[in-house]
Amino acid sequence: MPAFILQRLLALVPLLFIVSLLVFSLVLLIPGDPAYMLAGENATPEEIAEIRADMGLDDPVLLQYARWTAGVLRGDLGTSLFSDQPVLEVLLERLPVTLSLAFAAILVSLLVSIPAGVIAGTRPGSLADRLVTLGASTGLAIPNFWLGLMLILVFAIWNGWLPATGYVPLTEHPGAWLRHILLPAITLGLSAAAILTRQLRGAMIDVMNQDYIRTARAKGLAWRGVVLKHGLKNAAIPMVTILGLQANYLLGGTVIVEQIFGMPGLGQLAVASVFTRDLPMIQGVVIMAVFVAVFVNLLVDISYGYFNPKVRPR
Amino acid sequence: MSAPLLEVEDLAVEFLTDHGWVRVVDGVSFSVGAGETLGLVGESGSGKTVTSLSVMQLIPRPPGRIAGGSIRFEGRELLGLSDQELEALRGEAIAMVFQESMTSLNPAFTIGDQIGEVVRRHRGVSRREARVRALEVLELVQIPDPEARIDAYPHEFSGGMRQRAAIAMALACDPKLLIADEPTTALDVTVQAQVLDLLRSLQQRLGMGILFVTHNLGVVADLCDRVTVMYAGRMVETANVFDLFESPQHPYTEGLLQAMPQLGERGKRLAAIPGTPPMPWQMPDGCRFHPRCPYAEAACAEQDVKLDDLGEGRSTRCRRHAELKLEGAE
Repeated sequence: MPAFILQRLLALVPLLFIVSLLVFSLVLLIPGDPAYMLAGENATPEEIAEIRADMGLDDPVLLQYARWTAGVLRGDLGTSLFSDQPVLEVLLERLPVTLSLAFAAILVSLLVSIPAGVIAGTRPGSLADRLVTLGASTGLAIPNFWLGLMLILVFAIWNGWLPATGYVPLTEHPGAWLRHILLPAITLGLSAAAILTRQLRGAMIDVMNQDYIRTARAKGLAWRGVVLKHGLKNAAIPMVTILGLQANYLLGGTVIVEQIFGMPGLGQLAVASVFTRDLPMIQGVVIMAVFVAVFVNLLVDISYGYFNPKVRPR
Repeated sequence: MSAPLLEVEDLAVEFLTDHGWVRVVDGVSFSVGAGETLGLVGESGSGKTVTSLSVMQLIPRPPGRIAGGSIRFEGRELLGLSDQELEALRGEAIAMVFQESMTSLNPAFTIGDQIGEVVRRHRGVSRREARVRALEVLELVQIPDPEARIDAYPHEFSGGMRQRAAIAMALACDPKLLIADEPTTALDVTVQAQVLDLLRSLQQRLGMGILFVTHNLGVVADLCDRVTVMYAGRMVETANVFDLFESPQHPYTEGLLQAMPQLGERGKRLAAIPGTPPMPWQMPDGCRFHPRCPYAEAACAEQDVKLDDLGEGRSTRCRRHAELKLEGAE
């Protein structure tokens, strides 16, 4: 297993190289010149030229790339053009917010999809199955910004049960963390829950028709044991793939959800940085997102080995 | 003859299809004694697998249902038992081996886990004790180096080894009756012979009854004491294996025997039974075999043929059996 992980990590080197090229070329591709933004509306051309020189924007592109990459490799992602804080420091401050939101959303999606998918998939065509399928279609159709606003309206404004906005770190106060994270997590996790439910339902229908299910029943195992042991572990294989993809979508979804719920996470930072053309910060957010996505995929690959012994490395 | 372990009487099984409820098994009766092997023979679609699954009540419901008859195990009626009562019997007193060992073993669990599971279910023992038992039965079915193989997954086994493991799983709780549904059909001929040898020696050691479902008369000759031949959902002939091969009493049985390849007859065309079996929703009137039967008369198409008891455990469903001189096999 360690060799397997090492092999996966080595495979990341070319990927990260390509990503670094893309991220760096943002500087060249984004319309507008950060020097103009920094200098303000009434700046003279001389002032702008000075800022450009300071930022190294006049150097050849290759030199700029080499300088930037060298910095990234040393963990130096530059400083924010506006707050003068090191980018990495800001990112690490924001990362836990986004990660706990994404993690809670995945948890919500699993808590919904596993029971719903199993119930529907073991009794295809039943009333329960129809209700689950209807629910999943509805869940897919609801845009999460609308759902977020509705949840705020019902649970925060009308009833006052949960706070509408804000974030409390888990380490500071777990109870308050939960109260703040619940609505955003449901908002973000619902569409993933719908997709996973449909996936698990389909996989479960397929698996329950397999010969080994009949074998398990011929051994005298009760229906529940047959479904939960022999059925679910096999049905989980395609679900894990989808879960990995969904995890990446969820990270993208945090951008909107963090805006709605006023959470100081990476998504909110990304939006703010784009509006202020804070290039080093945008680059930092993208790199961080890539790292998280790559890490999630690694986890998915590793978990494959658990669910499906055929792909287990020897 | 020993007292019957399993008695199936007038079994009827129906499936819900586009043509409504269709009876795929009709009026099937047979018995298996302790230590006896009964072969259940027929073409694909003759209802033999459905019959064997019905004993364990493992036919998929829906679309299947047992529409009538009686299945008694050691004198106890199995039809109408609760799920819990059936589950207590399955894998314990009655065990089953299936045709495709690749698909009938769960790919996600080790061989040892899958064998141990049935022991823990019925014996209520710990994981460690179950593992000890799993090792014992793996040794019993002659898996080489069971200590090393017990933690392997099904895909790491060859076809023959997987089928041995499946047999080990079935034997783990010392069943009194083993139902084997074409357990050697998917195997190479040499491996097939090994598995049959294994089953025979296991039966001699453990004294269990075997209901052996197959389409292969060669395997029947090799292993079975008695044979029940099925055609189009009905049993057409029952006899002990020597009588059946020597003097079949039903034209279908004769056809099956003629269709068996024989050594030393190279170059000779194999006899085939003309036509195909009927679909369950368009069974012919009268004798169901008459459209394919070389001896059929007008009367065969008119009246339903009853099973004729010939004494000494023989019976046939042919109205002309007395006048016909049917040919057996050497």
